[in-house]
Amino acid sequence: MYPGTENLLSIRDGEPVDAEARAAVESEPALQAEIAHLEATRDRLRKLPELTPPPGVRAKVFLELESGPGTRRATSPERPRSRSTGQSRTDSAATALGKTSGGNPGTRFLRRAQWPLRGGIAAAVAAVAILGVRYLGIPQGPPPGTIIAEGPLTAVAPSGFGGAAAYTSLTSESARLERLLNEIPYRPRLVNAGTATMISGLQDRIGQVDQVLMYSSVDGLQPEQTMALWQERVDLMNALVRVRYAEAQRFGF
Amino acid sequence: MGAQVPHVDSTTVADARRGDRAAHGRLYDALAPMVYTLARRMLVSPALAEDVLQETFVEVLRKLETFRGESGIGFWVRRIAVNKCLMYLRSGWHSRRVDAEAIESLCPPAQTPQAEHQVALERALAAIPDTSRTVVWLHDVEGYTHKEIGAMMGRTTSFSKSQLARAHKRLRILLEGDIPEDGGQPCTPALKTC
Repeated sequence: MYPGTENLLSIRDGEPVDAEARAAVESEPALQAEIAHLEATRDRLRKLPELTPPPGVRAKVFLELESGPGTRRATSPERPRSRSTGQSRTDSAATALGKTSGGNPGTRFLRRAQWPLRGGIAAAVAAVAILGVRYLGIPQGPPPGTIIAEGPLTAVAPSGFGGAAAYTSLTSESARLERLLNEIPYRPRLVNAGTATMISGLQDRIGQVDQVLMYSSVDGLQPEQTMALWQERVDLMNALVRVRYAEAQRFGF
Repeated sequence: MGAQVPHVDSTTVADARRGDRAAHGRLYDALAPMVYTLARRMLVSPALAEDVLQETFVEVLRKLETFRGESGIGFWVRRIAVNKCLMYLRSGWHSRRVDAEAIESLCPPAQTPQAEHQVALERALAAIPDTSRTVVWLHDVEGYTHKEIGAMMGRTTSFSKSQLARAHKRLRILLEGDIPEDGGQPCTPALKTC
């Protein structure tokens, strides 16, 4: 019996294995080298650096504890505003889901809400188009007071952008949109091809932003660059929530 | 052998259980890096990892009275964090495709060879399927047994073993690639040599 990776891992970890497999390892240097390689990979994983938690989370934890059990997670009062309407992006998505932050349960509203699918897709198309242009580095005049990533990782910090508070605000917004997305209960199996492509495109973009954020400490990203990426994430998440909600509406949510 | 779990002194734990806010802060400061690192390695997404970090500590600090102290508080907190990560992984939304080339184009090159290898390993870990990544991290780094992992994931011990083997195979391909028959430079996706 020639032992496979599963058996070799068991030997590496000192677990009981088939006697025949153990004998094969003892007589075969290539298998011993393979076990050494598996050990080396494990050691490399263990040596990956510990990551530093984002600074805003500590305050959010204690804010939520003070708000008492059973309440929704606290978010910063200074959430980013929509560039076009001035409405909080979270609020716009929450309104779409009938979950206003003012405490209205919104169940009836949710049932009555009739968000056209086309509206959601149009919003997402616009978001993707704008964000795509940013990523490609195509010159575009930024709206006043916004941050735009020029090229892959070069960002411009706008004046009056308030460091840690803005960071906390963006991450809270992003987390809240994640929760809203998770709260959409129904994902139809059959979807319009355009909608599916749109959702997939948005998810890919979010994944890409997440990957860059993941390596930000190793790659030495500047705080402004990290902020720009979080802003991108919030924009994309908002677009995704809109499309998913519109999709769910269409299928009877 | 499992991962190092930070030690929190018994006075801090006792004070925290009595509701002392300063002790809560010390508890957070001591254990938050462990929880955040665990969540980032399991979920990849920084946003989800932040969510897990926040939810974990809100739950820990609210339920401190139920901590019986049989194991260190670090182990208790870590277990709560693992369960939250698994909950996110089961939610479905988390599973999304990531275009590797697009990631490469967005990531600047690492500054040192050591950092380059770390980034390569991070990339490879992030690129393998969620289940395999979870199992390899929980087993090889956090030190959970296959039986424990199987139970936490609602699967069997042998499922955990096979996922661990699968994870190592995939990591190897991503980190070392296939060595060409002509003995030339191996194709190593995570190190961008092909």
